[in-house]
Amino acid sequence: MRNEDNDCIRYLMKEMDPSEELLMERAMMEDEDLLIEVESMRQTLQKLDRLPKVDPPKEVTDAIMEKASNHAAERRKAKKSFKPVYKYAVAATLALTITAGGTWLFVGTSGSDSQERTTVAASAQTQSQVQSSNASASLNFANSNAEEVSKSGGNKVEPWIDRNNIIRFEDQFVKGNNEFDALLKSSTKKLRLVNQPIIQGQHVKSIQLTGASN
Amino acid sequence: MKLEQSNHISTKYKQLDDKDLVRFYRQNGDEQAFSELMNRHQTKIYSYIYSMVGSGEIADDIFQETFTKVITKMDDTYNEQGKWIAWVMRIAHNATIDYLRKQKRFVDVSSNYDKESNTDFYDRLPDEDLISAQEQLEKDEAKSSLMKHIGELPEEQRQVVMLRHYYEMPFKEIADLTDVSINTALGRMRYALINLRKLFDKEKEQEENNYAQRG
Repeated sequence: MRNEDNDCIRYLMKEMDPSEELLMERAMMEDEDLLIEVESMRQTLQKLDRLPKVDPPKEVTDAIMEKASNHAAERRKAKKSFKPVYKYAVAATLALTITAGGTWLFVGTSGSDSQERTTVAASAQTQSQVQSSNASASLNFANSNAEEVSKSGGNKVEPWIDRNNIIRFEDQFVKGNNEFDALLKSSTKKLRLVNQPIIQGQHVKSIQLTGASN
Repeated sequence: MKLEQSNHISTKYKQLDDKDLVRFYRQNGDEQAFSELMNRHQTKIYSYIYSMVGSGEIADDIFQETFTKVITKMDDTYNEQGKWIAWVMRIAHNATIDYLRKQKRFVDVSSNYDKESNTDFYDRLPDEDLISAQEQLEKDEAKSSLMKHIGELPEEQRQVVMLRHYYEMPFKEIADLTDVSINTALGRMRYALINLRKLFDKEKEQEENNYAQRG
Protein backbone atom coordinates (compact mmCIF):
# COMPACT_ATOMS: atom_id res chain seq x y z
CA MET A 1 0.00 0.00 0.00
CA ARG A 2 1.26 3.44 -0.91
CA ASN A 3 1.90 5.86 1.93
CA GLU A 4 -0.25 8.49 0.16
CA ASP A 5 -3.27 6.19 0.49
CA ASN A 6 -2.99 6.45 4.24
CA ASP A 7 -2.73 10.23 4.24
CA CYS A 8 -6.54 10.55 4.57
CA ILE A 9 -6.46 8.48 7.75
CA ARG A 10 -3.43 10.29 9.12
CA TYR A 11 -5.16 13.60 8.41
CA LEU A 12 -8.46 12.55 9.99
CA MET A 13 -6.77 10.98 13.00
CA LYS A 14 -4.63 14.07 13.49
CA GLU A 15 -1.41 12.16 13.10
CA MET A 16 0.14 14.65 10.70
CA ASP A 17 2.64 17.42 11.33
CA PRO A 18 1.18 20.95 10.93
CA SER A 19 3.16 21.35 7.70
CA GLU A 20 1.79 18.03 6.36
CA GLU A 21 -1.73 19.07 7.33
CA LEU A 22 -1.34 22.25 5.38
CA LEU A 23 -0.16 20.35 2.32
CA MET A 24 -3.06 17.90 2.68
CA GLU A 25 -5.61 20.73 2.86
CA ARG A 26 -4.09 22.30 -0.21
CA ALA A 27 -4.29 18.97 -2.04
CA MET A 28 -7.98 18.59 -1.09
CA MET A 29 -8.72 22.05 -2.46
CA GLU A 30 -7.16 21.06 -5.75
CA ASP A 31 -8.46 17.45 -5.96
CA GLU A 32 -12.21 17.09 -5.49
CA ASP A 33 -12.11 13.30 -5.33
CA LEU A 34 -9.66 13.45 -2.45
CA LEU A 35 -11.95 15.88 -0.65
CA ILE A 36 -14.94 13.56 -1.14
CA GLU A 37 -12.97 10.56 0.13
CA VAL A 38 -11.81 12.42 3.25
CA GLU A 39 -15.31 13.69 4.03
CA SER A 40 -16.82 10.25 3.50
CA MET A 41 -14.33 8.75 5.90
CA ARG A 42 -14.98 11.49 8.41
CA GLN A 43 -18.70 10.65 8.39
CA THR A 44 -17.99 6.95 8.92
CA LEU A 45 -15.59 7.79 11.73
CA GLN A 46 -18.24 9.92 13.40
CA LYS A 47 -20.52 6.89 13.43
CA LEU A 48 -17.92 5.05 15.48
CA ASP A 49 -18.49 7.55 18.30
CA ARG A 50 -21.71 5.65 18.95
CA LEU A 51 -19.76 2.57 19.93
CA PRO A 52 -20.99 1.59 23.37
CA LYS A 53 -18.88 1.75 26.50
CA VAL A 54 -19.61 -1.02 28.97
CA ASP A 55 -18.63 -1.27 32.62
CA PRO A 56 -17.49 -4.63 33.98
CA PRO A 57 -19.85 -6.28 36.52
CA LYS A 58 -19.32 -5.31 40.15
CA GLU A 59 -18.51 -8.86 41.27
CA VAL A 60 -15.68 -8.98 38.74
CA THR A 61 -14.14 -5.69 39.85
CA ASP A 62 -14.58 -6.69 43.51
CA ALA A 63 -12.78 -9.98 42.91
CA ILE A 64 -9.92 -8.12 41.21
CA MET A 65 -9.68 -5.60 44.05
CA GLU A 66 -9.56 -8.46 46.54
CA LYS A 67 -6.69 -10.04 44.61
CA ALA A 68 -4.91 -6.69 44.51
CA SER A 69 -5.36 -6.29 48.30
CA ASN A 70 -4.08 -9.79 48.99
CA HIS A 71 -1.10 -9.29 46.74
CA ALA A 72 -0.31 -5.94 48.38
CA ALA A 73 -0.58 -7.53 51.85
CA GLU A 74 1.78 -10.34 50.80
CA ARG A 75 4.25 -7.83 49.45
CA ARG A 76 4.11 -5.76 52.64
CA LYS A 77 4.68 -8.91 54.66
CA ALA A 78 7.59 -9.95 52.49
CA LYS A 79 9.05 -6.46 52.70
CA LYS A 80 8.85 -6.47 56.49
CA SER A 81 10.58 -9.79 56.78
CA PHE A 82 13.44 -8.58 54.62
CA LYS A 83 14.42 -5.42 56.43
CA PRO A 84 18.16 -4.70 56.16
CA VAL A 85 18.70 -5.59 59.84
CA TYR A 86 17.18 -9.00 59.24
CA LYS A 87 19.25 -9.42 56.13
CA TYR A 88 22.43 -8.94 58.16
CA ALA A 89 21.13 -11.30 60.85
CA VAL A 90 20.36 -13.95 58.25
CA ALA A 91 23.79 -13.46 56.64
CA ALA A 92 25.55 -13.74 60.02
CA THR A 93 23.59 -16.86 60.97
CA LEU A 94 24.39 -18.43 57.63
CA ALA A 95 28.08 -17.62 57.97
CA LEU A 96 28.16 -19.08 61.48
CA THR A 97 26.31 -22.19 60.42
CA ILE A 98 28.64 -22.76 57.49
CA THR A 99 31.73 -22.23 59.63
CA ALA A 100 30.46 -24.47 62.43
CA GLY A 101 29.33 -27.10 59.95
CA GLY A 102 32.66 -27.01 58.15
CA THR A 103 34.60 -27.31 61.39
CA TRP A 104 32.43 -30.14 62.63
CA LEU A 105 32.78 -31.94 59.34
CA PHE A 106 36.56 -31.48 59.37
CA VAL A 107 36.92 -32.63 62.98
CA GLY A 108 34.53 -35.52 62.40
CA THR A 109 36.42 -36.68 59.34
CA SER A 110 39.85 -36.41 60.91
CA GLY A 111 38.54 -38.04 64.15
CA SER A 112 37.10 -40.94 62.27
CA ASP A 113 40.30 -41.17 60.27
CA SER A 114 42.42 -41.39 63.39
CA GLN A 115 39.86 -43.71 64.93
CA GLU A 116 40.00 -45.82 61.84
CA ARG A 117 43.72 -45.74 61.97
CA THR A 118 43.63 -46.69 65.66
CA THR A 119 41.24 -49.54 64.89
CA VAL A 120 43.41 -50.79 62.10
CA ALA A 121 46.45 -50.48 64.30
CA ALA A 122 44.66 -52.20 67.15
CA SER A 123 43.48 -55.03 64.93
CA ALA A 124 46.91 -55.33 63.46
CA GLN A 125 48.33 -55.34 66.94
CA THR A 126 45.80 -57.94 68.09
CA GLN A 127 46.53 -60.05 65.06
CA SER A 128 50.23 -59.74 65.54
CA GLN A 129 49.76 -60.46 69.27
CA VAL A 130 47.81 -63.64 68.49
CA GLN A 131 50.30 -64.68 65.87
CA SER A 132 53.14 -63.78 68.08
CA SER A 133 51.59 -65.74 70.97
CA ASN A 134 51.33 -68.70 68.64
CA ALA A 135 54.80 -68.24 67.45
CA SER A 136 56.25 -66.98 70.70
CA ALA A 137 57.17 -70.39 71.98
CA SER A 138 58.92 -71.36 68.81
CA LEU A 139 60.49 -67.96 68.71
CA ASN A 140 61.62 -68.22 72.29
CA PHE A 141 63.01 -71.57 71.46
CA ALA A 142 64.66 -70.22 68.37
CA ASN A 143 65.83 -67.24 70.36
CA SER A 144 67.46 -69.43 72.95
CA ASN A 145 69.11 -71.46 70.26
CA ALA A 146 70.00 -68.38 68.37
CA GLU A 147 71.57 -66.99 71.49
CA GLU A 148 73.72 -70.06 71.55
CA VAL A 149 74.57 -69.48 67.91
CA SER A 150 75.34 -65.88 68.58
CA LYS A 151 77.48 -66.90 71.47
CA SER A 152 79.27 -69.32 69.23
CA GLY A 153 79.21 -67.11 66.15
CA GLY A 154 79.77 -63.91 68.02
CA ASN A 155 76.50 -62.40 66.56
CA LYS A 156 73.20 -62.18 68.43
CA VAL A 157 70.51 -64.21 66.65
CA GLU A 158 67.30 -62.20 66.42
CA PRO A 159 64.60 -63.92 64.35
CA TRP A 160 61.95 -61.58 62.82
CA ILE A 161 58.61 -62.01 61.16
CA ASP A 162 58.09 -60.61 57.67
CA ARG A 163 54.82 -59.23 56.34
CA ASN A 164 53.73 -62.73 55.31
CA ASN A 165 54.15 -63.87 58.92
CA ILE A 166 57.14 -66.02 58.12
CA ILE A 167 59.88 -66.35 60.71
CA ARG A 168 63.15 -65.20 59.24
CA PHE A 169 66.67 -65.96 60.36
CA GLU A 170 68.16 -64.55 57.19
CA ASP A 171 70.32 -61.97 58.82
CA GLN A 172 72.16 -64.65 60.66
CA PHE A 173 71.99 -67.23 57.92
CA VAL A 174 75.35 -67.98 56.51
CA LYS A 175 75.84 -70.70 54.00
CA GLY A 176 77.82 -73.62 55.36
CA ASN A 177 77.11 -72.73 59.03
CA ASN A 178 76.42 -76.17 60.44
CA GLU A 179 75.44 -74.94 63.84
CA PHE A 180 72.81 -72.72 62.40
CA ASP A 181 71.49 -75.52 60.21
CA ALA A 182 71.22 -77.79 63.24
CA LEU A 183 69.42 -75.07 65.17
CA LEU A 184 66.93 -74.59 62.38
CA LYS A 185 66.34 -78.30 62.05
CA SER A 186 65.82 -78.88 65.73
CA SER A 187 63.51 -75.88 66.04
CA THR A 188 61.26 -76.90 63.18
CA LYS A 189 61.11 -80.44 64.49
CA LYS A 190 59.55 -79.17 67.65
CA LEU A 191 56.82 -77.23 65.85
CA ARG A 192 53.45 -78.91 65.56
CA LEU A 193 49.92 -78.11 64.39
CA VAL A 194 47.70 -75.90 66.50
CA ASN A 195 44.67 -78.01 67.42
CA GLN A 196 42.14 -75.21 67.86
CA PRO A 197 43.28 -72.31 65.71
CA ILE A 198 41.05 -69.48 66.94
CA ILE A 199 41.89 -65.84 66.50
CA GLN A 200 39.52 -63.30 68.13
CA GLY A 201 36.76 -65.92 68.44
CA GLN A 202 36.93 -66.82 64.70
CA HIS A 203 38.21 -70.04 63.22
CA VAL A 204 41.23 -69.57 60.96
CA LYS A 205 41.49 -71.49 57.73
CA SER A 206 45.24 -71.93 57.64
CA ILE A 207 47.90 -74.28 59.03
CA GLN A 208 49.38 -72.91 62.21
CA LEU A 209 52.38 -74.29 63.92
CA THR A 210 53.41 -73.78 67.53
CA GLY A 211 56.10 -74.84 69.88
CA ALA A 212 53.96 -74.32 72.93
CA SER A 213 51.51 -76.86 74.36
CA ASN A 214 47.92 -76.39 73.22
CA MET B 1 -20.67 1.05 40.40
CA LYS B 2 -17.95 3.34 39.21
CA LEU B 3 -19.38 6.11 41.40
CA GLU B 4 -19.53 3.82 44.42
CA GLN B 5 -15.88 3.00 43.95
CA SER B 6 -14.83 6.54 43.38
CA ASN B 7 -16.49 7.66 46.63
CA HIS B 8 -13.92 5.65 48.54
CA ILE B 9 -11.02 7.16 46.69
CA SER B 10 -9.81 10.45 48.01
CA THR B 11 -9.35 13.42 45.69
CA LYS B 12 -5.60 13.15 46.25
CA TYR B 13 -5.51 9.98 44.19
CA LYS B 14 -7.72 11.44 41.48
CA GLN B 15 -5.19 14.20 40.89
CA LEU B 16 -2.27 11.81 40.49
CA ASP B 17 -1.25 10.50 37.11
CA ASP B 18 -1.06 6.80 36.27
CA LYS B 19 2.70 6.66 36.79
CA ASP B 20 2.45 7.89 40.40
CA LEU B 21 -0.48 5.60 41.17
CA VAL B 22 1.45 2.62 39.84
CA ARG B 23 4.47 3.62 41.94
CA PHE B 24 2.30 3.93 45.08
CA TYR B 25 0.87 0.47 44.55
CA ARG B 26 4.18 -1.15 43.70
CA GLN B 27 6.18 0.42 46.49
CA ASN B 28 3.67 0.70 49.31
CA GLY B 29 1.00 -1.77 48.29
CA ASP B 30 -1.43 1.16 48.22
CA GLU B 31 -4.79 -0.40 47.39
CA GLN B 32 -6.49 2.95 46.85
CA ALA B 33 -3.97 3.78 44.16
CA PHE B 34 -4.79 0.54 42.38
CA SER B 35 -8.50 1.17 42.82
CA GLU B 36 -8.13 4.57 41.17
CA LEU B 37 -6.22 3.01 38.27
CA MET B 38 -9.00 0.45 37.82
CA ASN B 39 -11.63 3.14 38.03
CA ARG B 40 -9.95 5.16 35.33
CA HIS B 41 -9.43 2.43 32.76
CA GLN B 42 -11.81 -0.45 33.46
CA THR B 43 -14.57 0.74 31.11
CA LYS B 44 -12.27 1.14 28.12
CA ILE B 45 -10.56 -2.19 28.70
CA TYR B 46 -13.80 -4.06 29.35
CA SER B 47 -15.54 -2.44 26.36
CA TYR B 48 -12.68 -3.40 24.08
CA ILE B 49 -12.73 -7.01 25.27
CA TYR B 50 -16.52 -7.15 25.14
CA SER B 51 -16.66 -5.69 21.63
CA MET B 52 -14.09 -8.21 20.43
CA VAL B 53 -15.57 -11.38 21.96
CA GLY B 54 -19.22 -10.37 22.10
CA SER B 55 -20.08 -12.31 25.23
CA GLY B 56 -20.43 -10.94 28.75
CA GLU B 57 -19.31 -14.09 30.47
CA ILE B 58 -16.22 -14.50 28.30
CA ALA B 59 -15.43 -10.80 28.59
CA ASP B 60 -15.65 -11.15 32.41
CA ASP B 61 -13.18 -14.03 32.33
CA ILE B 62 -10.72 -12.27 30.03
CA PHE B 63 -11.01 -9.04 32.01
CA GLN B 64 -10.34 -10.88 35.26
CA GLU B 65 -7.45 -12.82 33.68
CA THR B 66 -5.99 -9.56 32.41
CA PHE B 67 -6.03 -7.90 35.82
CA THR B 68 -4.76 -11.00 37.60
CA LYS B 69 -1.73 -10.83 35.30
CA VAL B 70 -1.44 -7.10 35.87
CA ILE B 71 -1.38 -7.59 39.65
CA THR B 72 1.10 -10.45 39.66
CA LYS B 73 3.39 -9.20 36.90
CA MET B 74 3.46 -5.52 37.74
CA ASP B 75 6.44 -6.05 40.05
CA ASP B 76 8.57 -7.88 37.50
CA THR B 77 7.45 -7.21 33.95
CA TYR B 78 6.16 -3.64 33.91
CA ASN B 79 8.79 -1.06 33.05
CA GLU B 80 7.91 2.31 34.57
CA GLN B 81 9.32 4.10 31.54
CA GLY B 82 6.37 3.00 29.44
CA LYS B 83 2.70 3.92 29.78
CA TRP B 84 0.95 1.66 32.27
CA ILE B 85 -2.28 1.60 30.28
CA ALA B 86 -0.43 0.59 27.09
CA TRP B 87 1.12 -2.30 29.03
CA VAL B 88 -2.27 -3.35 30.45
CA MET B 89 -3.84 -2.97 27.05
CA ARG B 90 -1.22 -5.28 25.55
CA ILE B 91 -2.12 -7.94 28.14
CA ALA B 92 -5.85 -7.48 27.48
CA HIS B 93 -5.32 -7.55 23.72
CA ASN B 94 -3.15 -10.69 23.86
CA ALA B 95 -5.67 -12.45 26.11
CA THR B 96 -8.49 -11.51 23.73
CA ILE B 97 -6.58 -12.62 20.64
CA ASP B 98 -5.63 -15.88 22.38
CA TYR B 99 -9.29 -16.53 23.05
CA LEU B 100 -10.32 -15.68 19.49
CA ARG B 101 -7.60 -17.89 18.05
CA LYS B 102 -8.77 -20.73 20.24
CA GLN B 103 -12.28 -20.22 19.00
CA LYS B 104 -11.02 -19.94 15.39
CA ARG B 105 -13.99 -17.94 14.40
CA PHE B 106 -15.13 -14.36 14.31
CA VAL B 107 -17.80 -13.35 16.73
CA ASP B 108 -20.74 -11.40 15.54
CA VAL B 109 -21.15 -9.08 18.50
CA SER B 110 -24.37 -7.53 17.31
CA SER B 111 -26.28 -10.77 17.18
CA ASN B 112 -24.67 -12.19 20.26
CA TYR B 113 -26.96 -13.31 22.98
CA ASP B 114 -25.75 -14.48 26.38
CA LYS B 115 -27.47 -17.82 26.90
CA GLU B 116 -26.33 -17.97 30.52
CA SER B 117 -27.61 -14.60 31.59
CA ASN B 118 -30.36 -14.20 28.98
CA THR B 119 -29.04 -10.77 28.12
CA ASP B 120 -28.01 -9.04 24.97
CA PHE B 121 -24.95 -6.79 24.56
CA TYR B 122 -27.19 -3.72 24.81
CA ASP B 123 -28.83 -4.82 28.06
CA ARG B 124 -25.47 -4.14 29.67
CA LEU B 125 -25.29 -0.54 28.52
CA PRO B 126 -25.83 2.19 31.14
CA ASP B 127 -29.36 3.57 31.47
CA GLU B 128 -29.96 6.94 29.95
CA ASP B 129 -33.13 8.10 31.67
CA LEU B 130 -33.09 11.57 30.19
CA ILE B 131 -33.82 10.56 26.63
CA SER B 132 -37.23 9.48 25.51
CA ALA B 133 -38.18 5.90 24.74
CA GLN B 134 -38.35 6.66 21.01
CA GLU B 135 -34.92 8.29 21.00
CA GLN B 136 -33.57 5.40 23.02
CA LEU B 137 -34.99 2.92 20.53
CA GLU B 138 -33.46 4.77 17.59
CA LYS B 139 -30.17 5.04 19.38
CA ASP B 140 -30.18 1.37 20.22
CA GLU B 141 -31.00 0.51 16.62
CA ALA B 142 -28.12 2.63 15.39
CA LYS B 143 -25.76 1.05 17.89
CA SER B 144 -27.03 -2.37 16.99
CA SER B 145 -26.49 -1.68 13.30
CA LEU B 146 -23.00 -0.30 13.97
CA MET B 147 -21.99 -3.28 16.09
CA LYS B 148 -23.37 -5.65 13.51
CA HIS B 149 -21.26 -4.05 10.79
CA ILE B 150 -18.17 -3.95 12.99
CA GLY B 151 -18.72 -7.62 13.72
CA GLU B 152 -18.60 -8.23 9.97
CA LEU B 153 -15.16 -6.66 9.60
CA PRO B 154 -12.10 -8.90 9.39
CA GLU B 155 -10.51 -9.36 12.82
CA GLU B 156 -7.38 -7.32 12.00
CA GLN B 157 -9.44 -4.34 10.90
CA ARG B 158 -11.78 -4.65 13.87
CA GLN B 159 -8.81 -4.67 16.26
CA VAL B 160 -7.45 -1.43 14.86
CA VAL B 161 -10.85 0.27 14.99
CA MET B 162 -11.44 -0.80 18.60
CA LEU B 163 -7.95 0.03 19.81
CA ARG B 164 -8.19 3.45 18.25
CA HIS B 165 -11.70 4.09 19.49
CA TYR B 166 -11.42 2.85 23.07
CA TYR B 167 -7.82 3.76 23.79
CA GLU B 168 -7.25 6.62 21.39
CA MET B 169 -3.98 4.84 20.72
CA PRO B 170 -1.56 6.44 18.29
CA PHE B 171 -1.04 4.28 15.21
CA LYS B 172 2.57 3.73 16.21
CA GLU B 173 1.36 2.00 19.39
CA ILE B 174 -1.33 0.06 17.53
CA ALA B 175 1.35 -1.10 15.08
CA ASP B 176 3.60 -2.20 17.99
CA LEU B 177 0.76 -3.98 19.74
CA THR B 178 -0.38 -5.86 16.68
CA ASP B 179 3.16 -6.54 15.41
CA VAL B 180 2.72 -4.80 12.06
CA SER B 181 4.21 -1.72 10.43
CA ILE B 182 2.59 1.67 10.98
CA ASN B 183 1.54 1.76 7.31
CA THR B 184 -0.19 -1.60 7.66
CA ALA B 185 -2.03 -0.36 10.76
CA LEU B 186 -3.10 2.82 8.91
CA GLY B 187 -4.11 0.74 5.89
CA ARG B 188 -6.24 -1.56 8.05
CA MET B 189 -8.04 1.46 9.51
CA ARG B 190 -8.61 2.85 6.03
CA TYR B 191 -10.02 -0.44 4.74
CA ALA B 192 -12.15 -0.79 7.88
CA LEU B 193 -13.72 2.62 7.21
CA ILE B 194 -14.22 1.83 3.51
CA ASN B 195 -15.85 -1.52 4.38
CA LEU B 196 -18.05 0.08 7.04
CA ARG B 197 -19.17 2.75 4.58
CA LYS B 198 -20.11 0.05 2.09
CA LEU B 199 -22.04 -1.87 4.75
CA PHE B 200 -23.92 1.26 5.84
CA ASP B 201 -24.71 2.11 2.21
CA LYS B 202 -25.99 -1.42 1.63
CA GLU B 203 -28.14 -1.23 4.75
CA LYS B 204 -29.55 2.14 3.68
CA GLU B 205 -30.37 0.77 0.25
CA GLN B 206 -32.20 -2.20 1.77
CA GLU B 207 -34.18 0.08 4.07
CA GLU B 208 -35.18 2.23 1.11
CA ASN B 209 -36.23 -0.84 -0.85
CA ASN B 210 -38.29 -2.11 2.10
CA TYR B 211 -39.93 1.31 2.45
CA ALA B 212 -40.72 1.43 -1.28
CA GLN B 213 -42.22 -2.07 -1.18
CA ARG B 214 -44.46 -1.11 1.78
CA GLY B 215 -45.44 2.14 0.09
